[in-house]
Amino acid sequence: MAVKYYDILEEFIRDSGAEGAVLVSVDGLAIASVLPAGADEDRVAAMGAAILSLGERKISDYGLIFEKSENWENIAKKVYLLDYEKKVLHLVDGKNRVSDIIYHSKLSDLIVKRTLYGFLACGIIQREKKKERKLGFDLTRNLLNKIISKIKGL
Amino acid sequence: MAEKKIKIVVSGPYAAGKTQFINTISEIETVKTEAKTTKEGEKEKKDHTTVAMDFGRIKIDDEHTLYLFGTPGQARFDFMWDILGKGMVGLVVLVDSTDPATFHEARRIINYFESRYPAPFVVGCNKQDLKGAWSPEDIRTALDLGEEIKVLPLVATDKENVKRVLLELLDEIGKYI
Ligand SMILES: Nc1nc2c(ncn2[C@@H]2O[C@H](COP(=O)(O)OP(=O)(O)O)[C@@H](O)[C@H]2O)c(=O)[nH]1
Ligand SMILES: [Mg+2]
Repeated sequence: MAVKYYDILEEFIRDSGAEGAVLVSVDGLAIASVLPAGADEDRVAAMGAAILSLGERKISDYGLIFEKSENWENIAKKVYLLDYEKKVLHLVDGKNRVSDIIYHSKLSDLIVKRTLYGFLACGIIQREKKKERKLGFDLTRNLLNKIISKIKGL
Repeated sequence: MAEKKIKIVVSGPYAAGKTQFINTISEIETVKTEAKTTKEGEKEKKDHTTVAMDFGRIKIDDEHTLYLFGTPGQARFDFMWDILGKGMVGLVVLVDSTDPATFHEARRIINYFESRYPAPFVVGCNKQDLKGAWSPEDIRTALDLGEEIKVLPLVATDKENVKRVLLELLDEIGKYI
């Protein structure tokens, strides 16, 4: 497989005029490289991985779900809502994620997020209360009890 | 027989006490992958930071081992968060109670896991031994957490404290079996 990668890298260097090229896995390991003498493959790979992940921290709020608070109608009466804010509020239904609200409202990310945080601050909406939580492992009651007594005994 | 791993993730902002928490409770010396910090701001708080991740393990029986995984701090290791989130049975989110500037980051971390891997979680308000530590109730308000979430006082250097937080989490986990 690596041989094929070299061909692609060579071709890339020829076409782009770059000095060298490294194919890097997501965790920053070099898979294949064509580099000028003296360049350290591992260093270049680690730097590449660092640069690539700089742009997008995974900790983003796009997956969040909000719901209208209990007395949202009272609050909404007291504050003057602009048309686009009404649109966003309408889309807050306990099911739509932030990314869905952005998509359906056709508003920009920034405006939607700012509006949602404004709503959150004045209590019109709240974070979805999770009813369902999921365990990523099939724990039995028996095993859980074992873990509990083990920890108590440490 | 293949060992079965039961995963608990320990997360929180930089310097919240994740490495300390895992060290205090682990049976073996924690496998640390620390390196000298290079960023200027980070140096003031401590001179080592967790580069990839740290984990501790506690053998439960011949078949099962409990793993505590700390989330790495640097953005370039964000891909690890998904790997850790998948398959965890529970999450401990630590905050440095004396450093309100990091509470916002803690909230974002909770958002991250809540929207992707909604396992049971508890919040540990760490460094309660220090002057100026915010109370758990004030931290609950700052993080906008409902009454259904446990927000617990913690001194991560103290074993009994760490045990209590883990037992509270296991109690939460028990509600979903
Ligand atoms: N006073 C006090 N210091 C703590 C406590 N927990 C951790 N620390 C210190 O806080 C600093 C950061 O802790 P560390 O575990 O490295 O944080 P991490 O970045 O979340 O892994 C270290 O110097 C720890 O010794 C605590 O409960 N009380
Ligand atoms: Mg650490």
